[in-house]
Amino acid sequence: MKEKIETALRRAAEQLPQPDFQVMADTPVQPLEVHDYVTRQEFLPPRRRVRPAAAALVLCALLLCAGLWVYFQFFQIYTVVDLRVNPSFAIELDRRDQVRTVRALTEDAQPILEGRSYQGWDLEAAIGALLDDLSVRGYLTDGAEVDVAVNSKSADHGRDLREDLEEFITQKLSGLGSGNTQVHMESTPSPQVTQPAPTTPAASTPSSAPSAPVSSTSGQDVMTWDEAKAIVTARLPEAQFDEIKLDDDDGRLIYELKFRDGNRVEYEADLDAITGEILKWEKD
Amino acid sequence: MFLYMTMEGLAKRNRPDHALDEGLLPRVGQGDRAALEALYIQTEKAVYALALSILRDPEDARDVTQEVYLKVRAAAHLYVPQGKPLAWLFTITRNLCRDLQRNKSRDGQTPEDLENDARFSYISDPTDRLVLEAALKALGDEERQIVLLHAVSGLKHREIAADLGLPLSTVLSRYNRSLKKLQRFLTEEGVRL
Repeated sequence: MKEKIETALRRAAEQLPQPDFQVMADTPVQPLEVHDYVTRQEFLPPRRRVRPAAAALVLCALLLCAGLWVYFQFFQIYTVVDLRVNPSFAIELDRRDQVRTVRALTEDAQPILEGRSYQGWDLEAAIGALLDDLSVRGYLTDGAEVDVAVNSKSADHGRDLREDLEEFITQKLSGLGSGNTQVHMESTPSPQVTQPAPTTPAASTPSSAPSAPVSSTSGQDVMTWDEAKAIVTARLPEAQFDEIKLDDDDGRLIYELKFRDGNRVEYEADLDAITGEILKWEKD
Repeated sequence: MFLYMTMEGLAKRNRPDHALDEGLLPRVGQGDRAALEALYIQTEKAVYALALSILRDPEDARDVTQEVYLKVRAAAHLYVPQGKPLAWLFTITRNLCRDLQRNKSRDGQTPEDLENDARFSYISDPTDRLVLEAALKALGDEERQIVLLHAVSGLKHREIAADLGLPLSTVLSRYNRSLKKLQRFLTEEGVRL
């Protein structure tokens, strides 16, 4: 139908009166000196031609930025929450506090995680589910303790998360009828996430790897974290460390260690950081 | 690779139309009759189709078309090449049509009445006549221009877009819409093609 209309229009127009070229070509004309309003040309600004290569480069850069944003938002491990009830778990979170993965830190945690995936879960939902499982399996008995350590790339975020988790876990345990279960929130990074190390005698939260010993004010070498732990482990082989601090007690460098045995009984020990002498050994 | 090819394709679409030799105009400006004839042959149908779509009167369209080429002869030596010589002819056509319409309204002439119009008596086939009258009556200004430029002068949609300064997608969609409108109008009028 379209072609019929076009053909009809063309045939009709061909039959209309047409101008005469000879008459037009023979008519004398006066050349213009400048364009008049009829012949004046419209000058459009030159169109900026986008170079294909430059446009492709910009697009690639945008895609790269978008990709990086997606990675940092959804894939980067931003925070690790250690949930230690014995069994113990490490919950890895992205920047939005969504669970990336839950790892077993102890052997008895493996069966609880078997066949389950918490990826994409809210942190509280994941912790709630884990506590439910622990309760069902009888780990949250009276007198049991829940230790939580939060290690985040942002100190502020870690602090806020600790406060929220303490409240949430306390309420959750109360709801499970485990109101007598103690909740301990640790202010230092879990030893399983980062290795604490002495930097200065006054430091209570060491931040770098403990490889070389630090000289004391008397010029003698301070033992490393590993050496301090080895002294404790020699006395209590099943010790699981919760906290290690290097403190200055009137000029004497002291390692203060908190740890638990296989029955989850808490201990505190103080060691001379130079000689390794056990200055205090307390069992709660 | 695909992205580069796509960008290259888009760049090519925006390049000026070189079907009409822009070099004819300076020669016309120097009085070259052969160049004038070549220019006339290549552009007269398009100029006439545009004039007819604006004026909706075949005789006025003829007169304006003749005047367009007289103006071209007078100003071709002043023409600055911009890659679209037909666009310049269209500009002259529109300006002359506007002048004629102003003069007619000043003289108190009423807008053309297409009912039982003797102006189209040149057309022997009644169906062809009805189709042309329908195009001039039922379509809007821009629709008429696009349809007549394509159907009468044979200009491609891409060329029409470049010379009228419209996006190609606009020309394509308006052309298709216009033909559907024409088809509906003709059906309502009882015209069978």
